[in-house]
Amino acid sequence: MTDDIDQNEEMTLAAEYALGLLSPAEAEAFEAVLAVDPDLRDHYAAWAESFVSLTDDVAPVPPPAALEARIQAAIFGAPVAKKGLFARLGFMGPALAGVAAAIVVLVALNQTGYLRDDSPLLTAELTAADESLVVLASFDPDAQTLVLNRTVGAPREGRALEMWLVAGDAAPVSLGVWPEGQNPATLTVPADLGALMDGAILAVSDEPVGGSTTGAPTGDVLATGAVQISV
Amino acid sequence: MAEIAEIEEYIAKCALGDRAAFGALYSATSAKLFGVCLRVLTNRAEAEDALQDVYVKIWRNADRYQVNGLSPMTWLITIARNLSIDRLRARKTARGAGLDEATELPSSAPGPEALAIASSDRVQIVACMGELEPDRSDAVRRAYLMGETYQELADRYGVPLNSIRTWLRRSLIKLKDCLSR
Repeated sequence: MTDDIDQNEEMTLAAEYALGLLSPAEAEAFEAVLAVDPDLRDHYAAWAESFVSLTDDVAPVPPPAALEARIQAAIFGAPVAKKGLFARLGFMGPALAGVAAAIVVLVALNQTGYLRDDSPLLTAELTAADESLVVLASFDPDAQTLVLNRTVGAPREGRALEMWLVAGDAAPVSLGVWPEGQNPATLTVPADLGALMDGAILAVSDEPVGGSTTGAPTGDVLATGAVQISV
Repeated sequence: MAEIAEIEEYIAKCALGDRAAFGALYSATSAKLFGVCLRVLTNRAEAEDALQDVYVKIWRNADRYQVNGLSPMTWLITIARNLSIDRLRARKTARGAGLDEATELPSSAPGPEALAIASSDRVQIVACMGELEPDRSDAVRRAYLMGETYQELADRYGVPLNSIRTWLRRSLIKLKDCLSR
C-alpha cells in the first residue's frame, strides 16, 4: 500500500514536471532524483510521450529560409569563408568550447619524469562528445615528445587513430599515427610543430591503418582538446 | 518527415560534432518544431528566436539524448515546447501578471486533416482526456501548450490555490490509469 502511494506520488510528480507545473525549486529537486532513479525516468518518459501527442495537431510550418543560416551562425560561429579549421575537421565551436570547459589538468601521466626546469609541460585532455574515447596528451617541449595515454576507448576494428595539431586558423597538421598496440604511446614532434603546441588544439581522428594519405583527416574526428600549460 | 531511425542517426552524429547531420536534422524537423513554437508563442518573431534556442540546445545536448529514454521526436518537440513556454512565461512576467489571454487562445480542436493522420498515441490520449471532466482536461492542455501555472489555473477555474494541486492530481492519476489500459 505504501508502495502504491509512493508510486502514485512519483507518477503525479513526473506528470506535473512534464507539464511544467512544479515550482523552480521542486523542479530542481525532481531533476536531481531523475538523474539517479530509473523508475522516475520511466514515469517521466511515459508522460512526455503522452503529452507530446497533444502537439500532433500542430501543423508543420517551414521557418523562413534565412533562419537556418542564423541558427548555424549561432552554433558554429560566423560563416567560415576562409579555411575553416573546424569545418575541415568536421568539428564545431560550441562543442569544442564544451570540451575546453571540461579540460582537467592532466594527472594520469607520471609527469615527474618529463619535468624540466625551464619549459613547463603542455597537456590536453581529448574527450569524445559521448565520452567513448578519452586521450590524455602531454607534450614535453624540451624532449619534443608527445606522450599519449588512452584512458577510455580504442581504435575501431581494423582502423587506426591519427593525431592532429590545429594551430590558430591553420589547417590540421598530422602529428603521426598512434603506434598500433601501444598505450601509452609516444610520438616525436618536429621542432616547428612543437613551437605551435601552446594554445593549439589537438584532435584524434579515425583513419585507415597507416593513417590518412591525403594530409588531412579523412575519417571522423573522434575527440579534441585544447593544449594548456600544466600547473 | 524522415523515418524515426534516420532522426536518431542524425542526433547521434550531432553528438559527434557532425555538421552535415545537423543540417539534415534541421531539414527533417524544423517545420514541425517551428509549428510548435508558433503554437505556444503565437508570435512569429518570438517563435523564430525560440527555434534558434531550440536547435542550439539540441546541438549541445545531442550527446545526452540516448540516456533520457525518449523517442527522438518526443525529445525534439519537448525541447521546442519547453523553451517556448519559458519565453512565454518571461513575456507574461514582463507584461505583469493577471493578463487575460482568453482571447488569444487558439482552438484546441484538431482539424479533420489532423485527425486523419492522428497516431495511435494521440487517439489514446485524446480518448483518455475525454474521460476527464472538461475543465480538468482543459487545464492539462493549458499547462502543456500555454505554460499556465497552478496560480493561473486556480484563478481561471475559481479553485483556491491550496486545493488546485489536489484538484488536478486526481485527474492525472485517472489519466494515467486510462493510458495504462
